[in-house]
Amino acid sequence: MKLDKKYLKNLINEVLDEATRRDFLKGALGLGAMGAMGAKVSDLNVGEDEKMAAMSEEDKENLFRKGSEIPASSSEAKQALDKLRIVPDLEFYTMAPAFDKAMGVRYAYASMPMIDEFYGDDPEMAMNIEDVEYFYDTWTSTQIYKYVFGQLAFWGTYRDENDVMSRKMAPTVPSTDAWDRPIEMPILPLAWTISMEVFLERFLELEQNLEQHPEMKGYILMKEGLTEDRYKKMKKNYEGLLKSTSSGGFIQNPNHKKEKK
Amino acid sequence: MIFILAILCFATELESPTEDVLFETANTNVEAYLDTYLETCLRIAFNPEDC
Repeated sequence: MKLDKKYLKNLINEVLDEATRRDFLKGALGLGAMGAMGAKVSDLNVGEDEKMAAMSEEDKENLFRKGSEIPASSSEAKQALDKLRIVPDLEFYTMAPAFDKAMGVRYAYASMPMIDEFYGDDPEMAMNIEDVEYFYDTWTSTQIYKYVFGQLAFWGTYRDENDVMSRKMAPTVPSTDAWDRPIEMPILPLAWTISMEVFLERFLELEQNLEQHPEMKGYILMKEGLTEDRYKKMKKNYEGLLKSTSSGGFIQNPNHKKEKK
Repeated sequence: MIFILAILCFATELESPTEDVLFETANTNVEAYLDTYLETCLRIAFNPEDC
């Protein structure tokens, strides 16, 4: 077959036409390519809100609960988190954007730039981070929000990087409280950092969906397990988290061993 | 519009107590942090402009 300029041009136009037609069908008929299997807002299918009219009250309640309640995970799936339930020995940590108000405990953590700098292009770390992201693949932003910020004590354990069977209380870094009294701040594991990043990304997706489909706000929030009031609270906190995670105070780690990696 | 309002009113009544507690705990933990963020950051930051 002769691949002349005219043939190639026609071929390209044919592919573009088909892609455009598919996009049109996807939008016009509400047939999302991802199907309705996942619970993520990004999988939202245009027209799904119309199905709501035919839903019973029980179905609506189930939809809301599905988006709100933390799903049960198998121990196999949780291994994705356990692999990153580690704390690298860094010279500095950052003040974590979470404070256990009930226990009065402040936390430190290794921020994403710190993780990037420490592990560089380590392929194993990149794979472990992907596994954590995949763990939350079908979770809504509400579910992740509760998991990351609602159970801080749950994150207060870690395993030794060299001993997969170990499980200990989180290491701490000395700091001072608001009255300059010495305190030991528990350091949240890398799995927490990655989980918070997933939440920030997932909430951004929610915002984009609400912007693109303002007429479906009620349905989108319900599917996400959010009421209007919850959404407002979460959005306010999301904006605060964005601001604080882009800056934040550094905490020097006097226990840092320079000869280590 | 009425339809959306109806959904929102309905959704408000759906939250189960346990899930409510978890959501409110998460909110409280983040809010408590944000309330003291600047003060704490200024105290431990090497460069106050970082806060």
